Amino acid sequence: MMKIITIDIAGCFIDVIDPTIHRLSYLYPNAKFSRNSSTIEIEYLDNEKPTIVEETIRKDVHHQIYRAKIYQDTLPMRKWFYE
Amino acid sequence: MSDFLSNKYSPFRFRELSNHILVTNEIGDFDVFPTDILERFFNDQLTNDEVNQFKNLSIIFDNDSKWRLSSLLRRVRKETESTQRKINYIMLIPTLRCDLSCSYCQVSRAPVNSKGFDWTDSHLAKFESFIEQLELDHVKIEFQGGEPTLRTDLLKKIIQITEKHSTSSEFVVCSNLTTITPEIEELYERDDLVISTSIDGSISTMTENRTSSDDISQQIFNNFQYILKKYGPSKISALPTITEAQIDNPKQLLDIYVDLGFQSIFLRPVNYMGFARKQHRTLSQQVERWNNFYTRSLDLIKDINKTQYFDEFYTSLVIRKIFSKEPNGFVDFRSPSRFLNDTCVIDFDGEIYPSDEARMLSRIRHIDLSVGNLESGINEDKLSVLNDGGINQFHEDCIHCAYMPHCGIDIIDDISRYKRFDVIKQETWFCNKQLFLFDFIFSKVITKDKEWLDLFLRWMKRSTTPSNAYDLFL
Amino acid sequence: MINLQLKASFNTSNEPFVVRLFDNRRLNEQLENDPSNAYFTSIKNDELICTSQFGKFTIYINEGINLHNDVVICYPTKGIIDRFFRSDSRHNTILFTEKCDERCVMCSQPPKEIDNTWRFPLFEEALLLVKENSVIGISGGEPTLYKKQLLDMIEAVSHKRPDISYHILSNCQHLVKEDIQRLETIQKKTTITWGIPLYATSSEQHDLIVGKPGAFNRLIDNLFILASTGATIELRTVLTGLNAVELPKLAMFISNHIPFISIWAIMAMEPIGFAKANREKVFFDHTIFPHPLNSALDICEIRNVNVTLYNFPRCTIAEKNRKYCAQSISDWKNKFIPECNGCIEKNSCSGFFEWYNKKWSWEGIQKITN
Repeated sequence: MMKIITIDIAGCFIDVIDPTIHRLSYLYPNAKFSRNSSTIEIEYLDNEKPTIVEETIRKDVHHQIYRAKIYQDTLPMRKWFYE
Repeated sequence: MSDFLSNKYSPFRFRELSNHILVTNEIGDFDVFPTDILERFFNDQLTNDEVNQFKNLSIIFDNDSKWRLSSLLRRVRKETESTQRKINYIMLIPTLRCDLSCSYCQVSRAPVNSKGFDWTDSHLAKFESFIEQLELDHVKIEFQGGEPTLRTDLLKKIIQITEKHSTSSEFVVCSNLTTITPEIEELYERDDLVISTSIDGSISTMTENRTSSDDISQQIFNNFQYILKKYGPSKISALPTITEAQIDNPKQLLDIYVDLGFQSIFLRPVNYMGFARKQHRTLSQQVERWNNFYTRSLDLIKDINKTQYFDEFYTSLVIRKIFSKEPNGFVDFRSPSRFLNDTCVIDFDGEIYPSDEARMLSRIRHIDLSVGNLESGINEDKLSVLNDGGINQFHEDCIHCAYMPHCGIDIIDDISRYKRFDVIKQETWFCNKQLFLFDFIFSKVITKDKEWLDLFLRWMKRSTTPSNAYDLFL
Repeated sequence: MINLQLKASFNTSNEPFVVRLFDNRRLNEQLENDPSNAYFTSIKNDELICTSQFGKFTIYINEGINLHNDVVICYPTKGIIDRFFRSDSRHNTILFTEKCDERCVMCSQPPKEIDNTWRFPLFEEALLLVKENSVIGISGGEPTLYKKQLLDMIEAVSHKRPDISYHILSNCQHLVKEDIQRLETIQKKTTITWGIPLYATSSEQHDLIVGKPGAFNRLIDNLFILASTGATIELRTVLTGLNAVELPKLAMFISNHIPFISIWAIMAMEPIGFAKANREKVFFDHTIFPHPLNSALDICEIRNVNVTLYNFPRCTIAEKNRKYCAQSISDWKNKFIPECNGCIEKNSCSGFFEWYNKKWSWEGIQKITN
């Protein structure tokens, strides 16, 4: 059965929605990710393997958002570390 | 530097583990927090204690402690700076011929009577010029093969040449121990030489995996006991290769090692290379099966430690790297890989490789990873290509992983399994194996599992004297 | 008790002057008349009569003091001489100033608002006369309150006496980036070891102990500056009730952030000075609570931090850790107590301070028998 999940993304994270979706797309090849201005939408078949659990994917989305944000915020410092 | 003080925070990674969030900074300092910490981090809702924790991790700064940023910079640069080449470990294969044909042999061995698989006088001469320009300080030479003891004359000459061109040296002979002739004994008598051999388990396991003959297996054990009695336990070490025969019975394998008087075991799965690819393909792919075996083994090893010191080589290496901050010379694991920085491998035909695995891959014509030969020296261009790929600090998957500062990278293993090393890390054998081990170690730290932490401390101190230095963990 | 000051009467001008005392009876040592020497021959009725280029003077001594080759600063108007350099001691320290910008709760040399700067030229003169290859301690108060004069003095002396090396005790609060070049220059000419105290891993704790807000962050900043000059740094931590429990955390901190130190000296507290008034807060019995110290030493072993224990009697330290006990830090020690009789490790033990008493005793003091 086709399931659709919508996740609201807080204002300060909106500019990292795109890189988050790119990354999630290859971590969850069986799901389809899209966005609106401040939400991420996930479409997947819930009887397909590997099984996707709603609670888990919601948490994963948030975690990937945080990772994308950390990456963006700290990239200049990382470049300085390794120059 | 002042540009970055206005940065809100320094790079960090997180991972959910044991109902907590494990956070690591760029250099691997870590701490644990409740599961809602990230949301509160980005919403400025941290408690005072949590703010202090992040400050101690040099993730959050304030103007008064600018030194934290300098310290972080110094430590990161020290870890990743390029270093001058100083070779201190050379593996060489003076002959590819072997009197056994082990089922998993990774080296595409040559039959014992074949020609053209040994070093010639020409190789010896080129070897001498090669190491002369390396300006060796202390060097460890490890003889592999085939079966190196088939050519004790070559070993003698190589030892002579090495002693001439190094400030000090030590030698390892990797032998199947089927035979000890007087010439071999003469070599074994050297104070600066130790032996490494393969013991996969009981006689029946040895026969199944290695000898196809109970008599030969028995002979190997007899020779082993002979050496142990004559020279003592520091003279000889052994490692198993884990195949189908042992994976369901770790206890039997460990019992044999304890009975033989060993205090350490290196548990490695049959490698996806050489003959292994053909005969044990399914095993190599089964990460879960391996992790299961590994956990059971570690549990058994914890029990063994109730009566004596015993460690697992790889886990204790990782623990020492994370908590003792011991430098890691293991080229198959560290990042940056720094191939040919301190280790090199010289094949029977004079070709030079960055690691033994690289040599084996090339032997089965999977890919040519040689980075030079004794004739023309090191191919620096080709070496840079390899080294450019051997770094996890910028890999798009690794940069998000909490274990990145402690983990490493093994592009040779990736190539051997997937023919490329830009596969999604989470789908590689190396990453899965590493993640499992790091999760195992850090879950013990987070849950403050004293039994395990005591064992880790023991391995870090390499002694059974009790310690309560738990501040090394959290 | 070692007497650093001796009474004297002078037949000289009123100006203070510096001489090296020379026992004239040691004819085999005397090569030629050295104008910096003050010669004495006889000791009569505890009186040492000295002849020098400045005139004659008499030193009143107790029996047993050997003054040959000592360098002394003479103060005719005060009727005293200061033993600046004791030839028979390996521990000679200049009290550079008694002023200090910190107020450590266990300070063994409480600060005084006394202007000492007029003595600096005398110190410099005296340094030129000390025995060859001497190690001179410089302490206070806080010597770097007069950083320029201190470095000037060391640099000037190093031109003529590069054999002299220094051990400077400092709170490391007064360095700036601009000092780097000067320190590098001086350190090429002579050897300086910096003994710098660090008590805790946070400003809250460290600043409280040293009585100066902001001290901790300034200290770490300046340690990095000092390190960049290639300086030899001996980090010092006095073990007190205020920082004992966190000692393992300090070991971790040192390993992570200041691994470039040459050695970490963990020191037992001296029961004198401010410590006496603060006894409740600062007294710590490591024989009753050995875990923090043992744990810290373990961490040092595992993390490869070079560590040593100063002023801890060997019996109060776990056997496996006695290898860290330094023999002696100064000759203000070597007092032993009745419990020490028959102890087989007495010869390698640092003993107790002169002013050690029952109020400060550790429970676990007990002679070692096997």
